[in-house]
Amino acid sequence: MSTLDDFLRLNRRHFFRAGATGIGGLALSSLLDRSFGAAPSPVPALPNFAPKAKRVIYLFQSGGPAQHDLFDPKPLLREKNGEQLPAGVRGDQRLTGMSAHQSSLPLAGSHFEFSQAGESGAWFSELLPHHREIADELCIIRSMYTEAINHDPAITFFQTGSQIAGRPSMGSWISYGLGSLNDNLPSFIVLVSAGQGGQPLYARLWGSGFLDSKYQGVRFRSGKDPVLYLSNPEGICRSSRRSTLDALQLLEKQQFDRELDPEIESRIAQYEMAYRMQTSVPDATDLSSEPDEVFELYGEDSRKPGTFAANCLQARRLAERGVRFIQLYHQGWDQHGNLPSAIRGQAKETDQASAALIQDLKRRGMLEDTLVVWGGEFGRTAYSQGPLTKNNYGRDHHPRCFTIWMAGGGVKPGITFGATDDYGYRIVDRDGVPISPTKHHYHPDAVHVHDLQATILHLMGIDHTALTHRYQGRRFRLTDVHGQVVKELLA
Amino acid sequence: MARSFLAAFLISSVFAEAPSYNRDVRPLLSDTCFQCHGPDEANNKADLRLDRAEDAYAAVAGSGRKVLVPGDPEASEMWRRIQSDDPDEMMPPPDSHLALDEADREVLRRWIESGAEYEKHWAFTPLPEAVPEPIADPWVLDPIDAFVLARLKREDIEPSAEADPLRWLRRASFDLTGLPPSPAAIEAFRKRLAGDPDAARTEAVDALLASPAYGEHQAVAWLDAARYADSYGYQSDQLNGQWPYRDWVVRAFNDNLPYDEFVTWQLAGDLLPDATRDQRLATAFNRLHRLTNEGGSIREEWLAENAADRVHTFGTTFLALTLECSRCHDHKYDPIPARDYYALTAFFNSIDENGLYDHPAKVPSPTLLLPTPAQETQLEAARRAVAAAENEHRATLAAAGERFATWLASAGTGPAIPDLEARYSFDTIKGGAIPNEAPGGKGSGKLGGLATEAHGDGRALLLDGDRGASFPENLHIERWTPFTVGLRLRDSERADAPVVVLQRTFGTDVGYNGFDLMLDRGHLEARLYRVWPGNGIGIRTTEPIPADTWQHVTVTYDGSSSADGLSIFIDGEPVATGVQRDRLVKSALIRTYGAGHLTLGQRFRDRGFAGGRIDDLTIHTRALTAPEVGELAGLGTLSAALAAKRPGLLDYYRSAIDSACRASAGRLADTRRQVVAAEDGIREMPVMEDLPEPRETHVLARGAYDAPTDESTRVGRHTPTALPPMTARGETPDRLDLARWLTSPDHPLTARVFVNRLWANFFGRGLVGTPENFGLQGELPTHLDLLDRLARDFIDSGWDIRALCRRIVLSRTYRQDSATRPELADIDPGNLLLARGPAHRLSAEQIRDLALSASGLLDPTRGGPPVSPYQPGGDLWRESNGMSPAFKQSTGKALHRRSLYSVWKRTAPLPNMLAFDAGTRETCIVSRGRTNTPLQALVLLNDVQFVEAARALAETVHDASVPAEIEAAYLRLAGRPPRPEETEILSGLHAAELQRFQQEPEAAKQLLAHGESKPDPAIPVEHLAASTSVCLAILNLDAAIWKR
Repeated sequence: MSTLDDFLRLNRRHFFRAGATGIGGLALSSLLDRSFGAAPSPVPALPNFAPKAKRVIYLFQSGGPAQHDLFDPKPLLREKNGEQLPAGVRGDQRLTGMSAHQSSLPLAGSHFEFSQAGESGAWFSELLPHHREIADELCIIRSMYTEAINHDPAITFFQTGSQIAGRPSMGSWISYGLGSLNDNLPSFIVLVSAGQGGQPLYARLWGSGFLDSKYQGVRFRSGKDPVLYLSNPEGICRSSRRSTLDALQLLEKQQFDRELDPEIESRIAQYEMAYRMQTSVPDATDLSSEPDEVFELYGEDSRKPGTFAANCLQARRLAERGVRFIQLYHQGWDQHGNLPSAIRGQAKETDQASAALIQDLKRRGMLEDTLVVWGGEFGRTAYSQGPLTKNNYGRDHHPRCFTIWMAGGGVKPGITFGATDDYGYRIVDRDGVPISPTKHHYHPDAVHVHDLQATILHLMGIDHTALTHRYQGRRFRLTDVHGQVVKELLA
Repeated sequence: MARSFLAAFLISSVFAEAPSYNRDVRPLLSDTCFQCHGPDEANNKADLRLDRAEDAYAAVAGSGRKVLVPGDPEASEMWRRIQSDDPDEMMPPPDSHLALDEADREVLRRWIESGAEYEKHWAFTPLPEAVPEPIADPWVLDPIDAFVLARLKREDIEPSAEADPLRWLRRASFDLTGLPPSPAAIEAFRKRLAGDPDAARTEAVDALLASPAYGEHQAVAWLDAARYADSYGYQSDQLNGQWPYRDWVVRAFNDNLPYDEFVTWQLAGDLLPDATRDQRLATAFNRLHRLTNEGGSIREEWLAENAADRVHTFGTTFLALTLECSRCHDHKYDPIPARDYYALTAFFNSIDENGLYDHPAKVPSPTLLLPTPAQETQLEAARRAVAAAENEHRATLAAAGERFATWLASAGTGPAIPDLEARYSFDTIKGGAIPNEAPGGKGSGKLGGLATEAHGDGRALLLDGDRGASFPENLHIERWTPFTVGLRLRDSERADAPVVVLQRTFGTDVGYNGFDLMLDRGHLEARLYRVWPGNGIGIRTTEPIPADTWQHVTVTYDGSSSADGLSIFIDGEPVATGVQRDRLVKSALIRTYGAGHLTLGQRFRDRGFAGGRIDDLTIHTRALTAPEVGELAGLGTLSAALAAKRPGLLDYYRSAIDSACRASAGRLADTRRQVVAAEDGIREMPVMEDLPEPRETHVLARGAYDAPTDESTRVGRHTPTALPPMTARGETPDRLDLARWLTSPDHPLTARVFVNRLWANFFGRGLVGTPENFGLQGELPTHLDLLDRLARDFIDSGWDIRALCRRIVLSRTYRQDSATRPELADIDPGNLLLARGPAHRLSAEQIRDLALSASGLLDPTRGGPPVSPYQPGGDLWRESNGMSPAFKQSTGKALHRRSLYSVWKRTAPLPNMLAFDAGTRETCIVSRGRTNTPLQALVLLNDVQFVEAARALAETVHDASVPAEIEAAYLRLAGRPPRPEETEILSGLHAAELQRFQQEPEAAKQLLAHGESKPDPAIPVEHLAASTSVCLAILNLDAAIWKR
């Protein structure tokens, strides 16, 4: 009872999950999975079933877009503009410290006109004229809800499944679960609209948590160096770099012959991948080859590097090149005050390009296997934060109901799922009765963050309960111990 | 792939004896069964517990069969279920995604057959008193080797030969100091080696251990566990200035503070008798968790979150237990009920903290001041000056009697109340401006859109809770300035929570500072504070005032910075008050956010005085005496006393009239100002300091801060029930008892956990492969006896960390060559059996420090505020966080400090560190990954830090002979001279690069221009550029980046 076999047997559950360093004698090609290059999944048996979506483009609208002014019309708020939010509607919903001490909570009717669009009759406010053109592609969810009430925990929850730092982000989980589709670009790329201000973004939102750091999102920036450290230092040209790499290869080969450590071969492969990225990344990020009509489709902003529109176009190019998870962020939706004018600019920056991305993917035949998600970390209140005047109002954070949309990649197009009460304060079931769902008490008419995550994974061919990673003795997953695939959203 | 190759092993595996519970069975049961049939009784399925013999033996399944019948698998429901392929019956069920394979099931069958005996989990069993070496062998240099060799012999594996001494030296150098051996150290070692090899090694090790770099290196792993960082970590992620803790950790390692004390200071240094400054500073360990200042944050939620982080960090760092699992429910695998979790929380939540921070200038209380010696002198001098001024003032007061008598004899009856700064009657408001009716009074008030209404002969201010009347030029007070605020108020709509009556504070809902007068369900509160509640003074009236009735309220403050110096009068009479807080350091009015104007009835995002009425606001720049307050309230107290020429007017005379007393009072205020000025410059650290009474603590259902609580959920302080009991010094156990319990020589976990982590510093992997988890789901130790022996010796040595390091690096096990042996590649690729020496990639810090050290750029300055090394791109701190402070790159030598001192910004960590698996320091981490990615290649080849270092190295080793240059550079980076074939390849690269740079001299200049340091103009540009290329290549080699 003391053979090595026994010993290994005992520890094997940990030992192989942990991926002990160095497995002798493996060919160089099979070591590529140590990079973020083309790689099989480290999780056996994934995908669990045929995926509908091969890739995700997530258009995160940071700050919390006001659903009452964009997607979820509430005539009653206009009728009762200035009246108090009834206590019965508020119930025991907690408020942030920003409006909890107001002496009144006056209902704020939207200043924007709503109308229906497309065959599906989806509702949009006048702020979103271009959304009307994609109405029949969208799966609009009005009954989203979350738990956090402040930005930092809320966006962390959306992107990592936990309000507490340290968990892998959704893109990391998917890279980890499914591997990469390409050989010379990262499989998880992050694009942030430049110069937006607003609520901060954090490295942890695209971090890999307790997964290997190779699964973390790689941030692409506009400008000369799309990836940090990508360019050779001035004075080193590509041929010089090549001769250095050739010399390194020779030296490392000798080192390998002595040490027999496959990690050495793996490092050589990483250096070659880095070398390839030095051309593949600029090629992917150079929009100059795009015809004028494409820029016209995405809007004039798309000619300006770093704008949301340029990033949408960039996202399409990355999707074409086999990037698995493309995460965009657009900050600035946090309209506590001065909402009517602020949201107008915000919508203008995002409306056309969001619609263009859907149209562009569609005409290229990519929409069917590309899942696009649009939304923020929570919604906003039906009442005004700060004084309600004839021309002005603000809205505080509201986790209890808000709207997001998805398109393509196996979601049901042209539907509006879920509903809120006439105050836009609570989710109601399909009979119109207000409900208070929680992650512990799933309700089929409401979509918790974990339900959305489960649904996104499902569309990628992943059973969210099966995509786990063992850390600290526990099998962690994106959806914690919750989440239900919302079947009604599936095509 | 891995699985199939393993399967081949398992099929051939035949057990010669009955399976052992701990070794064979428990890992299977824990991983596949306990999640639903384990310690978490409330959430168990079928009410079945399989982790304890008595439950498992007694349980009867729905079928009426016993779950576990020792000796009889066929009669055991467990055996039937794990064999079943019926989806409704099989265990584990299909939806668990867990499975037992053929071999697993066979283990369980044989275990049941052999009697199904349970055993205590290895990590919870007491540390043995003695662990004798299993064998004697000439190979053995240290008992470590005996355990390793015995294990190898069992497998019939030979250990590896000794590594080349220079390889060992480099290994030891990195493992002990995080730095490569210097050429001089290599040379000295080689010389000594020829004469006395053993002495060469011991002397080298002793020199490394004595180097201050030793503490710097050891600190890194500890700072990961302590989640030390230089920023708060949430949202705007302001810088926190907590580096004195980092420096203390370095100091503690360099002083070789015994580990038991090291632990005790950090957990409970403040509770030690006559605690020293370092002992108190060390408790910052519990305060380094992230803090938010996001607007709208709910304080109670974050108080719970902060305490939870302390408990998780405690659990992972000291116990290697996943206590966080018990926050929401009883632990699924380990015997840690949620009640134990909250009982531990109760040790850590009883400090006078706010829960949030609002501005980096305000250090979250409780805090410790860390004056420099010069500041200490200045502060003491200032305090002495106050004492002297107090004495002088007292003497002046005492001597005033005669003057008083003279004055009283001739005093008129006019009730003079001097020092009036402002009087606002609200009777005549024009264009929203409220006139200051004090003679010569500065400024005027702004009505702010509020209404007035008739009150008596004039008008009063009517408040709506959302708007306030403000007085920008009044009440410009500080801690040292006496003042009096008087007003009439009527509390018409008594609110069920505190409302703002008057305030002169800066801040937001997250935190204010300054002076305020609150009304909490009838109780008036007057507070002067920098950070509430931990740093401020405040009093509260004992009895509520009547609702909806006009009363006159006066608050006086004497400038003494003590709660005693605050008084509240109602309708001219002093009223009983209780002290809320009575400690104030540094200035109380600092410009954080907002204008900080004196305002009535409202504050930014606070609850205003809705429906309240205020009238007759007066402000005096002196603490008025009782007769004056009475006069102010309309009682005519002063007038009457003057008319009667009462001797009771002495206080009034001295305060209001006598010029000598008034002058000495002014001097006293001035000295007090000096104390505040001295304090303001002093560094301040958040530390632990318990409230007089422990905070009430409850089990929180699902971990929710707002879960309902009652007597049944209330918990006291105790240690986890599965571990040995704690002995408390007093009735209520405290953190010091907890620390004593943790460091008792018999504790099953403390020494094992630390020794295991320290072992990983040298071997890349602990003897327990899961240093973060010694629980039932953790890995079994590869060498339990060795772990126990090291732990026992460690304790017996007086918890001597340095001695433990020393014996490890001198052991035969550590000296082995690390090259992979083909015959071991298949059976032990991870080197679990230690048949060879350690090999792994250097850490992020080590890689950067290697480049700096080898190149001669390294600035040896130790400690102090963090530095900001090169960072690519624009301002990475602010590019997607407009609320963050700006990144300001350091200049000069500060660019070349050890990486330990680089600024750690939690939400935007240095990208070249992150690329090499440094963590974000957001939460406690006790092991880092060691990945291999293309980004690492990009960093090492293109980061200005490394390009500059390559150039500096090329200068340092400059020689007319290229091979000589290469040899010197290689020695500095790889710790050994290059082999001839390596020199040849690198010489070839040099020649090619030289030719290129000769053709493109501009490129050569560009390459040399990277970084702030300037190239040596004496070296020909093309040559230096080519050498830079070659040095950069060497720096990228496995020989440099890996420890082998």
